[in-house]
Amino acid sequence: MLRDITLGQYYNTKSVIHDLDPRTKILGTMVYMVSLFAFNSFWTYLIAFAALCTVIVLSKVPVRFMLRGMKAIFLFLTITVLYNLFLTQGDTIFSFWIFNVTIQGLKQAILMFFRLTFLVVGTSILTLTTTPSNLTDGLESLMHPLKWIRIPVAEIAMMMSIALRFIPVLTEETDKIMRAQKARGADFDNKNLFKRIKSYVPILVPLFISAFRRANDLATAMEARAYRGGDGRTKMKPLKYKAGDWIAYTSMLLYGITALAITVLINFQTFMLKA
Amino acid sequence: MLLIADHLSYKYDKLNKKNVLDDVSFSINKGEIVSIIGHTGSGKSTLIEHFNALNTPTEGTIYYDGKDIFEKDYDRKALRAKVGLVFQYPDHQLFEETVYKDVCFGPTNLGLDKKEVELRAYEALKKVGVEDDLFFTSPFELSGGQKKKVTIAGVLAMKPEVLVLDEPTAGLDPKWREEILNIAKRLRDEDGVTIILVSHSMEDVARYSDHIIVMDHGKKLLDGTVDEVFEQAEVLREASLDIPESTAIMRLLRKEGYMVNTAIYDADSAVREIRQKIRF
Amino acid sequence: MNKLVKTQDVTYEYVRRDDDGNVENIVTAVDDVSISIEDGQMVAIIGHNGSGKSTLAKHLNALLTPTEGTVWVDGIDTSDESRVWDIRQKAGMVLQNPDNQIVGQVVEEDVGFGCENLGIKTEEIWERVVDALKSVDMYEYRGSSPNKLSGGQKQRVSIAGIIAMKPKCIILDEPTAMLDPKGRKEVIDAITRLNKEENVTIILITHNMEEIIGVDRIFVMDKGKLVMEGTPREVFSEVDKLTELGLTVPEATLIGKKLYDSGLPISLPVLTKEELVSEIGRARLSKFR
Repeated sequence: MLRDITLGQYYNTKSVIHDLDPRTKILGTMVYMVSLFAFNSFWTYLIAFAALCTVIVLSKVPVRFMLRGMKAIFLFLTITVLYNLFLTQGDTIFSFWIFNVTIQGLKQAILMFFRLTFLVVGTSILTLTTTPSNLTDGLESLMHPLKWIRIPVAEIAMMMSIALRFIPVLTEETDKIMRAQKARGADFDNKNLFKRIKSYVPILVPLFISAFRRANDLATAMEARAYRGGDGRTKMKPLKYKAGDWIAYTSMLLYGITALAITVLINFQTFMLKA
Repeated sequence: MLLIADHLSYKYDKLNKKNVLDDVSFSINKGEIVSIIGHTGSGKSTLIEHFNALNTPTEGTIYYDGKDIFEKDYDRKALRAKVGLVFQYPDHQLFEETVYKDVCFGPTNLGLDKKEVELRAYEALKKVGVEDDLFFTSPFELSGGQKKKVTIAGVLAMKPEVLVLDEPTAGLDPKWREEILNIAKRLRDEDGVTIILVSHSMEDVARYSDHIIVMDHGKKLLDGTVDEVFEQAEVLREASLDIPESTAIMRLLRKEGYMVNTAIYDADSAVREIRQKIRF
Repeated sequence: MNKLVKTQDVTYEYVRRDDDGNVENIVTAVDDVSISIEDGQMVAIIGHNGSGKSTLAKHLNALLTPTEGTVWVDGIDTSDESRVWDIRQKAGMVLQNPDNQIVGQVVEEDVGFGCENLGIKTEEIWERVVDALKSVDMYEYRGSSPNKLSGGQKQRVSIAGIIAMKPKCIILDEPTAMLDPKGRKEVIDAITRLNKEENVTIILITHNMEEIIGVDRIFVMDKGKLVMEGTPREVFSEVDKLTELGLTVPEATLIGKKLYDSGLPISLPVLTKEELVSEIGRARLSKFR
């Protein structure tokens, strides 16, 4: 049922990770993502795994919530892994029928598997430990320099925030409209794709009309509460770095340096061996 | 008995311990006007969505015309034509370009031929009293009361045996409230349609129903005739419900020692009773 | 007492166009209305759907400006565009649909929204938000998502959002129309308390007559015109005229009137149940004498 879907999968608990400034978490996630692509040796991945485990433990979010995100990309993950496993050129380990598994392919497949898994789990930590409104505040603050090239950052952030506020409202409304049309004998399980699309018209029309009406009301309400764009607005919850954030930044730096050092070391070793 | 709810319970999901409906049983006779009352969150909306199998109960079942509607082979699509459900907000179902086309939606879904569909739509619109010159206007240009009429016609065109109206008078002014409720009454009187009314207005409920079911926190609190239910003012108050204003006045007079009947639900009867029973 | 809100010969017209952009007709939504509301009063504007009461209300905080005539809010002419934001701060507005006016994803954030727009410092916003939530009895829900609240609770959050802007008056445009009786009572109790205890001027637009028995003044609108004005006692004396305008009166008032018409010496109008009972008692005694 539609009403069961909760968007913005925030997991409500208290932890050091929840307490971090959203900017720290967004930047941290970005550093982590970059590291997964930039460094891809066994040792750096081991460190990446250790870092991930540490953050998971600190966040106090049950691991099954993190793995929920994996379900969504399961198909994609399988295809990527199989593609790399069977279609990478190199030294054959064994082959059957038309498939040819190579040592390079096997390495590449394992790498891809871990890279994608780490990526998904890493980003879901961000969304699991940060409320949507905090996330928008963080993004707004980080994108602030874009104002200089005339991008209305504050207004975009307000739009995102309002969208998040109304998603559950509109989801519930969709559910109600669907029931109202079902009560008039509408059938949404048609096998024929064309007919199926057509059967959604009785849902979409009322939904759009309602969304426009809500937008109109909301604009009036915001105007009545003296909203006039981002300029001159103050913040009820301004973002402030705390001690924990500096610790987090230091850890990020250490993580980056270690990974970089290991990569350099490995490359140096191979270089020496060749020489 | 046309419709029987048999130990009906409903939960949104298995993890959630709270019952939205908790062991509800009652029966509704053919040709009755039944009102279901209760404050928001009492489970009344969830309940009525079981009547045409839009919801499936977690436990218990519903018998319609003697048959279990949640039995595997029961034709629930056909049931939706027999038990017509009109939702609270007309804006949730109006979508066609014209009033007439919108009313055709229901019967078309039943797979009837074009001629029959158009005939039914015409009859339904006439029955609720929509004027001919509105047939080909956009439903979105209508007033709230007219929209309500069109949505009722949209369900009537499926020729239901039971018509369920979820808060049909919400947001309407007195003139329209009266008109909408009279449509329901006329359908019962002239065509024998069983009417199930969900309402907040105790005045409306008292004036139009034969039978009242009171819901509170997912449970059935009271079930009986208008007189039986409104006699229980204290029980109703505990469920955050009122009694009709006229009844409250009569109760107050009685408390002051006047021997008046308290089963009075509108101003005219109140005046009559006061003039008869109190010697001036 | 000074006049907080005053309208002088206000007329508002809008032009209706057909699909080709030709003028179809000109609708006069508000027609030559002059009202004045004193500081600290609680007043009601009533009328059936389409009587122009909502359009008039939108003039009182400069969401609309009159085609003809003038509106003053705390001495400021609403057509003075440079003062629009001052007016919006002084006269707050709560709309009918509780879902469509909450901006924040958390209750406290929504209450602070107006203050943020006014450029108030963070610490003061928090003080105001806490006070405002307490004044409508919603403090314990400060951390909830608005989606989890009942209609009455949502409307009280909207009222708190206005209160936090420290307005002189609040205009409520049918705030109870979409609520159940319990929610209705919560909202009416909250605004009555604000009026009595914090001296906020309240302008309540409604068609529920039971809600307005206790107000200081009632304005009755019909077809864009102001047709009646007075205290509840004065307005409810004219039951026939109100019925003609498509409005109902409180049940006790109606019964009182009908008893009077049947020949009993009831002094009209009767506003409450208790009044009716004591009037009946008095009528009995007067007959005995």
